Amino acid sequence: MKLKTVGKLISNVITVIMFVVLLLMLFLVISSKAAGGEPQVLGYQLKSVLSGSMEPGIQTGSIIAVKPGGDMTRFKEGDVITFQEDENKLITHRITEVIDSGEEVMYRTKGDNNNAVDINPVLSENIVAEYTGFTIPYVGYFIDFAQSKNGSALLLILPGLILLGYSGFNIWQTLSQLEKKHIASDDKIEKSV
Amino acid sequence: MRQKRVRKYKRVSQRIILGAQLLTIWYVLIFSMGYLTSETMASFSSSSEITVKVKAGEWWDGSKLAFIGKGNQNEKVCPSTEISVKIQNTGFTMIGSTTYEVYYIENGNPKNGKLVKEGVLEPLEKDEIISLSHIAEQEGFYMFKAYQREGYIGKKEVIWSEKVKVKCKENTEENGESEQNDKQIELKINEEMISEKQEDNLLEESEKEKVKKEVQQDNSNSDEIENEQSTKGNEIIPEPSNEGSKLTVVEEQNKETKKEDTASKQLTEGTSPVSEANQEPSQEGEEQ
Repeated sequence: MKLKTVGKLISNVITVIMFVVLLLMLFLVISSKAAGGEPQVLGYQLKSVLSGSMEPGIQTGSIIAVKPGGDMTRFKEGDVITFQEDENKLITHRITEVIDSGEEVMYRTKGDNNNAVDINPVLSENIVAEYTGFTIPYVGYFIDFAQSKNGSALLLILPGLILLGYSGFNIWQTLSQLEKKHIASDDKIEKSV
Repeated sequence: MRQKRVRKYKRVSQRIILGAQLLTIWYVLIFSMGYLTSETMASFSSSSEITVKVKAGEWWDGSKLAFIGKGNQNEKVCPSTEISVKIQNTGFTMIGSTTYEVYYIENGNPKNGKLVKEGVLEPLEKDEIISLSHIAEQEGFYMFKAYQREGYIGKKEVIWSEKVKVKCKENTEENGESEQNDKQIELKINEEMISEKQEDNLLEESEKEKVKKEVQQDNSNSDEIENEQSTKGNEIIPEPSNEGSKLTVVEEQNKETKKEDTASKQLTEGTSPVSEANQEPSQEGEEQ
């Protein structure tokens, strides 16, 4: 009896979690679509880190949260900023020098793990966000893997197939049991006749 | 019976539903994680400075340095005194500088002595002669060592000057024995030098034969080159090319072997070769 109640409890919890997760996803998608631009969580963008130029502060394959928006000329030496190097390339590096030419503010940047400063200084208008120090290691690898061909096959299709197989097996088992009982009862009937 | 069956169905369907729910959570998590980070290709550039040296236009300029002093110098002056040796560029004009060093030893062969000076030898014109000098602070033996230009093609990339002996006059008179020792040492060193030179000559001769063969194989220009070689010597080649340098080397070596032979004879006979040594460079100048 106890086992049954525990099982029931677990199934209820899982159901609740599922609904919460679904709602969260709905909220996330709708809010980010409504706001436009890149998806955000509580005002933060998540970036997966693909190289080790900021090690050991930010590990390769980790996820970092960066805060977009605000006055982009506010940064000072030592801040870590995410900026656009070209249209499709975001880079997160540390500011080593602030160049204030009066009209424009530019920043010279350098990866902590690099031995040289970046070739081009960054214009303040190319800065996207500031890194605030929140990072989760290794998740970036996982996401990167999940988005690759093999990864999505393994993580999305395989569990589905497993569930299908499992349910199919269950159904077949119960059906065969029923059949056995049918045959058994038929035999009984025959014998009684 | 029926109740049991229904319960069984229920259990099975419950399990399947549970699995489906877990699967849904899994999918949603993966999707939302991917969704959040998909468009944010936060790549980290890693630039590194690499310095690559490309050597362009650096080749042997065809120069050949030689110390032209014959015999050993014997300065009967108390230190400190200035000693000097003459060095000549017997090849083509140098396009860069090279280095020289001065070695000192109190007794024995200065080649085994200690380094007392390093200097830069500024580029020398063709056939230019300059003297390298050094202020000798101590009594003993000095030798100058000069490096040929980078990429030098030839036997000796490092050349040694004659030995310079610095001894006070008073001392030499008082200590006759030590002088004798010194003389013995000198003789030894001379013998060493002569034997080295003879080895060089042998090698050079074999090289010479090789070059001659090459020249003979050359169908079109061989005759001209040989003729010019015999008449003009060094001046046949306007630029230091490989073949050319070999040829000049051969010519020079011929001269040198002769000179060295005479020099060695002089040394063994024990005549003072200083006066002749001074004359020789001027003769060479006339020849060329």
